Amino acid sequence: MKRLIFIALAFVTAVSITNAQDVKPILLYPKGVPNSKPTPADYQETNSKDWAWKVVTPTLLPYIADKSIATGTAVVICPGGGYGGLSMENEGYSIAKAFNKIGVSAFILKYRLPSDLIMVDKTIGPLQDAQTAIQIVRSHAAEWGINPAKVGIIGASAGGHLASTVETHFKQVVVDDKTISVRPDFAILMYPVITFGDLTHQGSKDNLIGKNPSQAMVDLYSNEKQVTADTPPTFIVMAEDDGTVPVENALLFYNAMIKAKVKGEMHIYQAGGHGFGIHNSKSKEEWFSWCKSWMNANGF
Amino acid sequence: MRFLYSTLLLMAMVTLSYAQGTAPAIPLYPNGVINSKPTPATYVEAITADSHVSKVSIPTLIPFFPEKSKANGSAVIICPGGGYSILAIGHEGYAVAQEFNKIGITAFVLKYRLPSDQIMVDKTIGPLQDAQTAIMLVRKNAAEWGINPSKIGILGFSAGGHLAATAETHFNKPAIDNKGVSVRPDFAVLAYPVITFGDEAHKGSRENLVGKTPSQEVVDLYSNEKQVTPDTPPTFLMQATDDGGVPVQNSIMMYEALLKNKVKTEMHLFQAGGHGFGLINPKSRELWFTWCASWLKANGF
Repeated sequence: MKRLIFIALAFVTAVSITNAQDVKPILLYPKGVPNSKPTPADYQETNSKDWAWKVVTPTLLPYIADKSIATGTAVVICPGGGYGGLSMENEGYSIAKAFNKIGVSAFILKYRLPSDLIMVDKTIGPLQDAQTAIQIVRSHAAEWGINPAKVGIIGASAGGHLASTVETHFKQVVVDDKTISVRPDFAILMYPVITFGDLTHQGSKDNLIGKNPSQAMVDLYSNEKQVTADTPPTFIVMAEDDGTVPVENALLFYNAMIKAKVKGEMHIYQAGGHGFGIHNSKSKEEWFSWCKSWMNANGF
Repeated sequence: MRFLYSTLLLMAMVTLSYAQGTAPAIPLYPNGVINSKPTPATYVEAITADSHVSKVSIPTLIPFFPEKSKANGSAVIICPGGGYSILAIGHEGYAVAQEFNKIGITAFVLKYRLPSDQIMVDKTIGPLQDAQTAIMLVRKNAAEWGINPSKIGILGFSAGGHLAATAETHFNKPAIDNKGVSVRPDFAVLAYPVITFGDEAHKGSRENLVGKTPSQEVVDLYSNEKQVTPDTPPTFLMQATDDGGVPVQNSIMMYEALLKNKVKTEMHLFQAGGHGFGLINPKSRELWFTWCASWLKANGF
């Protein structure tokens, strides 16, 4: 028995090492990045172990689920970071690995952060990258063993703003290819920025639409105002004591979902603060397990 | 007589599926039920095959003590639901008490009076009187029962959730002579609760408690989202979004009020499950009671 466990562990280790090495970034735009300006010499992507900044060439990092457990579901992951950076480890790699364990293929989206230095219109840059990511996953679905009708999106914090934008703005296609649907089939929002109104996360708002946006722009990206009956099923997790993004953001979105009769589930921990990632250390309960059950119940 | 005997036997058999306490039921008012009228001969307590109790005139607490080795000193008073017209005392009472015992918490199922002009002088305060008396009774007997008097919570389902929410927001205006004993619960668990008597109300519960034409003042008084203060105890809310009996906005309104008053709170809204599922939501693989147990522990209960 011990030997079996050892072999199993060795195998698991080997597989995960292989996976880590196997991740070859997919260029979102092999023929040139849309909505871009010539990149200034001092605007260069920087990376630490856990974070990325100043992304110029957006990519998708594929984590394909092992065939033996693959469910055919895929998810595009949008790390957070206030639209000023990307929390790649806490809200990217660790999430992708968790999805792989439940047979869901995951694609971490290393999206451009809004900047007038590298974009013509910075307000649509992240959305372009996310919509393109969904199209890439759908167009490679057969090759990657994915059901193109089971492609979801997940995002944390500002990445949750991006994910909630994707699930509410799919009729506003900001990419050239109009042939492949950019509507995600489900969405998971982790302590998301939702509104650009009174209860916003100011940093995310300023970074995406600037310090003096028009009311029309504020409303456009206040995603609680963009929910319709076609918004896909949505799962929300947050903590009441979030000190960065007011928990009202989750409530605003959920109330809009109820009004539009969008299926969903919402869990608000008492404690956990902001940015807890895959595991809330202030609770013994694992939201990812709730999320998995919710996905299963919805056929994903 | 023989008929009565077989009826009793049948009732006993039916209710066997739920243990009815680990000790005899405790009358809330051994010296006479307060706020009562002489009970009409036709007003007789009854229980159906599916453990629905009706026409309670003598309210009691049915105790469930955990094994001594497991007991952690916390206690909970459980208010079954039933639209303030019956008590679903099985799946929203006894079954829940047994789960609390498993995690070391002493539980008391509250068999409260249902609002009725036939047996009460003022029916609107009857259930609250019973709930507050229950809290007072548990607190007074805490030492004897191995309970920490500052770890006494209340839980309620549906209309019982309205009662629990009332208990956690109306403790500063006791509806009983509380003799100096606090009737503030130390925590509250609200399962698909009726909260508001406003637009999103469960009309049946509202009509049963405050009548068909209540004044705005009474509506507001029992719209518990309007009664939350910073002193409202930590609260756990759980409901299914597709609840067809009580609109899910009831939980959300309560949450928003708790948030505004900086009351520690946790809320879980299932996508599906409907109304009245009790301990186990058949539409989910997840067990809310486990979440509740972790939440209680994190808060020291």
